[in-house]
Amino acid sequence: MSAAQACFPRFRPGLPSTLQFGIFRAPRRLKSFLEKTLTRARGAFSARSAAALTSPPTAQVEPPAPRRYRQAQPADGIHRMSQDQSRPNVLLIITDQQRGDCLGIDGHPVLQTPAMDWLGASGTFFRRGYSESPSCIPARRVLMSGRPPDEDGMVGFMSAPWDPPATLAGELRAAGYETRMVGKLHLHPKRHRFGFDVLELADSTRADDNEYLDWLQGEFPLDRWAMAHGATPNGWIGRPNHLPEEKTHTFWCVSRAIEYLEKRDPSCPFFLNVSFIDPHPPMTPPDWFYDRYAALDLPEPAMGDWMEPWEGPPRGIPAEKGPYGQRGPIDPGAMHNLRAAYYGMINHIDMQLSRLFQYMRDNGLLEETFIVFVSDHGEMLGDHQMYSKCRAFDASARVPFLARAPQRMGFPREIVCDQPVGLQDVMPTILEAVGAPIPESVSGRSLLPLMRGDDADWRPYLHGEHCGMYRYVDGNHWLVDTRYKYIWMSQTGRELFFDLHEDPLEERDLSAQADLSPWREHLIEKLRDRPEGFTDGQRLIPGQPHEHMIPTMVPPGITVTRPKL
Amino acid sequence: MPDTQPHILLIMTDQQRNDALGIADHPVLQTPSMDWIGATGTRFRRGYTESPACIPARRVLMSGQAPCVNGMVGMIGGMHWDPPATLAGELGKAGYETRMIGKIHLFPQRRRFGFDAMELADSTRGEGNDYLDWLHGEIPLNRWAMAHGATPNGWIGRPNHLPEELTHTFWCVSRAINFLERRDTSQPFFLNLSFIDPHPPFTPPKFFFDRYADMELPDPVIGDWVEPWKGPDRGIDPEVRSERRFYRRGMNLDPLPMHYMRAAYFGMISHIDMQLSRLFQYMRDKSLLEDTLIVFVSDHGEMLGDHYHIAKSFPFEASAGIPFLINPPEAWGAPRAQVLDQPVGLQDIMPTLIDAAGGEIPSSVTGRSLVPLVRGESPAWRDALHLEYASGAGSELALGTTQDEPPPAEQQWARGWHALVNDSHKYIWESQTGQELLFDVRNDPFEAHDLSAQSDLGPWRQRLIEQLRDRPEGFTDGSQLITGRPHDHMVPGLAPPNYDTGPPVF
Repeated sequence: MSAAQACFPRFRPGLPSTLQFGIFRAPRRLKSFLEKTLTRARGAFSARSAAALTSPPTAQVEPPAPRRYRQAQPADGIHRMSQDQSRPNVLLIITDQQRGDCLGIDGHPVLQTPAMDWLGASGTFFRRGYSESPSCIPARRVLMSGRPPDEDGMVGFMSAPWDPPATLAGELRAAGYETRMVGKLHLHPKRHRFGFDVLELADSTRADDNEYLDWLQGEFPLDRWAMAHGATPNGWIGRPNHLPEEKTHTFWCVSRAIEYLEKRDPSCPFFLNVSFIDPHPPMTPPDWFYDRYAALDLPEPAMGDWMEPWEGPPRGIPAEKGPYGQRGPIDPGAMHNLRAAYYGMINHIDMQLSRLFQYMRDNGLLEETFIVFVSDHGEMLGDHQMYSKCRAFDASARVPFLARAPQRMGFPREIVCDQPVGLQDVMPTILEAVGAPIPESVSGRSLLPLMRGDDADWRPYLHGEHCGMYRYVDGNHWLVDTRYKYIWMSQTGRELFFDLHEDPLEERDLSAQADLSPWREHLIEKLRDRPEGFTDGQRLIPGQPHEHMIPTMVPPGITVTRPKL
Repeated sequence: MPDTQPHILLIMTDQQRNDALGIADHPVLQTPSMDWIGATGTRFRRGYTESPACIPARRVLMSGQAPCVNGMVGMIGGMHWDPPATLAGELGKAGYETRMIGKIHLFPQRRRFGFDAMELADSTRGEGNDYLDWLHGEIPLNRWAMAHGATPNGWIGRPNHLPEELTHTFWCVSRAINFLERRDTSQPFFLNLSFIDPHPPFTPPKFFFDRYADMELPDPVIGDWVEPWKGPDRGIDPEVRSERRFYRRGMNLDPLPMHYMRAAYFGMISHIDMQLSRLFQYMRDKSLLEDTLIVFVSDHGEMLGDHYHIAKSFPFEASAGIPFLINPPEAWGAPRAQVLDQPVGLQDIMPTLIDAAGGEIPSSVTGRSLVPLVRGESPAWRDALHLEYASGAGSELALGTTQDEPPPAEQQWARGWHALVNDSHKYIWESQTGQELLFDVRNDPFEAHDLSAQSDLGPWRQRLIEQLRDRPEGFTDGSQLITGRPHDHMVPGLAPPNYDTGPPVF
């Protein structure tokens, strides 16, 4: 026990006491569960009537404009990469559904992520890194096109075909890179390559046309074996995987990545996008990684003073998307299982990244590669009695965001940056780092100045939004700066305001005591031209109908559906 | 086969600390087989590796020469070596069948250094590795043995993803038993069984990890002489590569990863011990055990977080002290459960084994036979054993991170030390900074208290001056120790022609 008492995370002085370090004897753990009761969940179920909706508009799509480029950045001594062999390789690592606070160097009290921590500590750790539209598909569109959601068109989640004016992989390919994607891409039409030379596609651990499952079913010729654990693909069930570690999607991704690096084209630099589906549900890490966290006292879910009272039953919220809109209480034991599994998945990814980095080090690639690490969005993990994503809260919208340049490029180490950055900034950052031109369609900004410690002239705030996903009333817009976050719920008009520095889990709403008018003005400015009519230019107008796509930007022949709740 | 020649089994582990042994009173670690070796023979409590890193230690062991005589006083990979006489070569001349199984870590790779045959597996990665060739026949996947993700020189601890029977440790003992089954029975054998565990990656089979992960484990020791930790608590490279430059290879971990590192380390030693039990049972069944001289040592230790350090190359007990056990054949009638305090080192192994085999000890050997001590006699012994380590420019341990980026000039020679140990105390002189430390290692085995301020260091300095008088680096002018003399991992004049450090290799 003495070892455990010794230290607390130091990166975040304001960490609530519920998150402080506890450890780790099974009897104590069980005792703490017994002490917990179900009384937290109160109130009877009351059916909520869905608002009457107008029918979705059909839209005209303009033909794509000819491609134009911004002027290339002038040479500044940092990257002298005019010769092919001096351009760095690029490794873009994406996890799926990893919260921004689920990172050792963010001060997490129990989670172990040494490989990710090292990336950040030997480069730049963006502590205010966000997914502008925090669910899988819109986030990946932002990431791959360098455009915020309101320019890309998708502000919610739907499987619409996409034809962006320029993509990260396409631009790197045009610059002479071999481009490879391994794992989850989750863009449509499926198998469209979006600029990659080759996809080794495994969007999930289920569904057809999946190269991981093709391989796995060669090993285990059973129907849908990977999902036989019974945990659901968008739910809150946590358990150890029934498959051994070496049969998992995470392990497969790294094996494929290493094989690619072994057999790649040696005459040109590479762009490798390794894209894990974990820690997206099903929450099923290999058993050791599950056990490691199941044996610990884990942080309790955050409960904000602004929460809606729970009106559903104390038990019975579904283990998959369903009638309560990914909200509600679950038993403390189930919560512990969920959290242990979630942390275990991240730890497993981290250790496989360590395997990948060791391979790269052994083969002289680690110091020849520009590495970016992000997630596509977070996971509420029961905080404020919510699950999954699509929300404005940090648990859902803030993501781990790390970048590391080869040492010869001369960037400093141990930069911790509080400027608001988003997935839209990844594409211009990578393009500038390799000396490639940045297309005009990109409105994200290169992070290289921030990585040098220069945060002058950075954007004052970042705008994010997501339409109502699990419930129509959850549609949200938000602005975040280096410290504060302003949220406007577009259907109810409710405003929330958080001091993220003092209150990283967003438990104290400050909207009553803060002057919100400058924030409202920023948001009015941002939404002025939106066809949904969120503002008349003077004020924010709640209750305007909104969709998964901005009405004027829906591709022809696509019907936009609305959430049922 | 002359009746007087015993079989010889030289067991080596890699990176096992001197306190990581049941009979050294470890509070949690279980090592019944190793304990038996010592308890039915002699345990040298002051057993040391003269230059605590893999390659220099193995050169001392295999040549019987002190580091400054064989030339390598720091870690440098890939350097070809042509010693005047080797342990295995001399035993071969004395009529032994000689076999090496596991890690030898000498260069050129595959040179036999006197062994009749080697089954070579220097690590769980790399080329030309008989263990990996076998494993890849079992599991034909790319680099499978390292797929656990723990790093080969770092601090990550976890259970192995492979089952016990596919590990390097298990393979070594399987091969050893195979050799004993098929050896030439007209000759005595010399078997050198050389594990890579508990060297990182810290990945024991799951049972052995769980066994210690479920316990409360001893905390790292931070001495009263240690500077406060200045690096970050999180973000340290799992391979501690860049930390060599930025934090002088120091590290400080959260309690949890520290616990896992220690659990894995103890688990690996426990696993080796249980495999030794398997080997001893085989030898007992075949009536080999009582006729065999068994020697058990490690090449160096592991700091395991003590004094904010991991790995080796340090003068402290955890790094330079090693388990040092000798179990004589029953025919010797030697005392049992003998614990001795004479300072002994790896250079003494070769003369001991040649002496036991009735061979002639070559004049190139600087070590001394331990046979009289093991037999319970009281020969005049050396007053002190000299230890040393040097990191050279461009070496991995010289704090540089890449070959493109050499360390800053003031750090080029930043680390290097000499030490003297006698039966109770250790004196350390940092040759680049001039810092001196004195520990009462008998009563303070973890070196928590530096006694240099309250002690008369004059005799120690004088003894070290004697030791270093003829060194070409100019560490002394004969009357005082001179701080800051340039040094390298090879003693000047003793490097082979075309000396080139090459890429760092562990």
